[in-house]
Amino acid sequence: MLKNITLGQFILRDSLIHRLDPRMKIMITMLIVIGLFFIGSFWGFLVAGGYILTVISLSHLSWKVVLRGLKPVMFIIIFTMVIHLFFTRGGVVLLEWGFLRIESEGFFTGLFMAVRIMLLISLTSLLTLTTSPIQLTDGLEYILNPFRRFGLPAHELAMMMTIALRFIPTLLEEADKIMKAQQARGADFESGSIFRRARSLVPLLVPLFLSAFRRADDLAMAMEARCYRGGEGRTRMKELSMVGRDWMALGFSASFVLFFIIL
Amino acid sequence: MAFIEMQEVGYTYKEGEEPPVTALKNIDLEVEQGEMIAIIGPNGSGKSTLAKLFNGLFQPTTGRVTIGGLDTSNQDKIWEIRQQVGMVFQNPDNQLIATMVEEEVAFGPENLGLPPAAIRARVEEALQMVGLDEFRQAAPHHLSGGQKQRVAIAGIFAMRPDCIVFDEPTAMLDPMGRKEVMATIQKLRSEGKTIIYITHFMEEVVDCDRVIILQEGEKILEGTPQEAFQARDLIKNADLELPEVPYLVYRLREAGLQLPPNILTPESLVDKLCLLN
Repeated sequence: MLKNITLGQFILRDSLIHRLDPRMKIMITMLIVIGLFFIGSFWGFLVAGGYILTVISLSHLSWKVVLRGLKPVMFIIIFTMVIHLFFTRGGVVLLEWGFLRIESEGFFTGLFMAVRIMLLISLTSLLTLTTSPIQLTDGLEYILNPFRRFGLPAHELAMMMTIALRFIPTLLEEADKIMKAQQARGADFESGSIFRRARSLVPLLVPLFLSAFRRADDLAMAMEARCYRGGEGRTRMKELSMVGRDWMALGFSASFVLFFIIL
Repeated sequence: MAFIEMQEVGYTYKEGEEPPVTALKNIDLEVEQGEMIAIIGPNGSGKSTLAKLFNGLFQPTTGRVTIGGLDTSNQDKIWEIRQQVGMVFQNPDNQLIATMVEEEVAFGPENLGLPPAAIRARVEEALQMVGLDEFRQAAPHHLSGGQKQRVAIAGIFAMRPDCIVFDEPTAMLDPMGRKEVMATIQKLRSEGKTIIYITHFMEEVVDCDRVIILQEGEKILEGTPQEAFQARDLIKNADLELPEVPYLVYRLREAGLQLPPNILTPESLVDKLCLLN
């Protein structure tokens, strides 16, 4: 069961969006996210929504998968909307009932805010749905590289992420094994109050941490034995290179941003 | 001058507050290019410590270690030494870095700063060598123990070392995986790589050119596998066990059969037994 876990929410498809350079995808996402905050009109949102629908259809993913990403933030969306609805003042009074009063300004700000968050979340989950964790890490390393001169450890950050990704399945498997071993000896992880359950995790976490440290030690030794000495002088087998479609994607997205900001 | 030379090497662990532990004492060792030598010993005999002295992961407390004439204490040459002497560790899970097999194999050559096309060529070659070219896109955690260990070997092979040190590479594998790994090591040997094979399974040393038995940090025996297997008392004292065939030969000889003592394989035992009549 643990063998089948997938990391992140990446879904492999053969599509134009999947093939885009991860750096370009990250930069376009940032561009659109910034753009979304400048939209001020109903038409602007419509165009932005259209943009995201286009990307979804190009990515060969079902829109349901993308919408699933909205579920965890649904509460925040509704909360924001309700707060704006009742507490933002201005414009004509739309509804008055006792001490509750909805004014048009609040209605529109609330609605815009909700739509903005929804677009934002679906856009960013599109990025992680179409880009594998390895590509994301690689892309981030390239993007952060220029900031090295300000002391940002770009390569080290990327290496840390790679190792974390590599060891998540290993540690999960190990946790599962320890848990079963403890259960076989009568440990109870499932019943009792939340504090009881948290306490019963201690005998799981101690051996897990111990072995994680041992693994870290071994790994460091194995990396050194393979001549790893940081990012300096290191080359890559897979170099990222921007091709025509990446620049086209940027042009397409940038014109959309301009379009929906102006509207 | 031999390819690898150890002169009066000792190693003492000084970390922690306990009294320092001497793991190795007075080890002299010479290994020629293309040789396969086995280092065998029970737990705590210092064999893993010895392994880490071959590529400068540890520096000897006393004595010196040279690889192709380079002293491992020379920090300027340390990366050259580590490129020449690769190392495969015991736990396959703890030595794989990347989330994809081909990236894993590329890790070493990438550290050497090779151009991308050359890395790609080496990765293909190494994956073919270990017979895992179909798995290049797989994630390491989806592979079996034996396959993971072969990926680790490919990762070392791609760095084109002259010598590979194996630190109990089969200790955590099932019999199937053990077989795969042993076959891969024999293949490396036939390509002329110098192999230093550390283990506590006596039956794995049958094919080696030379066997070194360690006990409590000291070399108690050095010789061919035949010579090693005949030193039965020594082996017993060192808490090691004779493989089945030499043990059977030993018992048969004890029972009075006229067999030569240096039989290692079932086939030669059958031959010799047939000759008895």
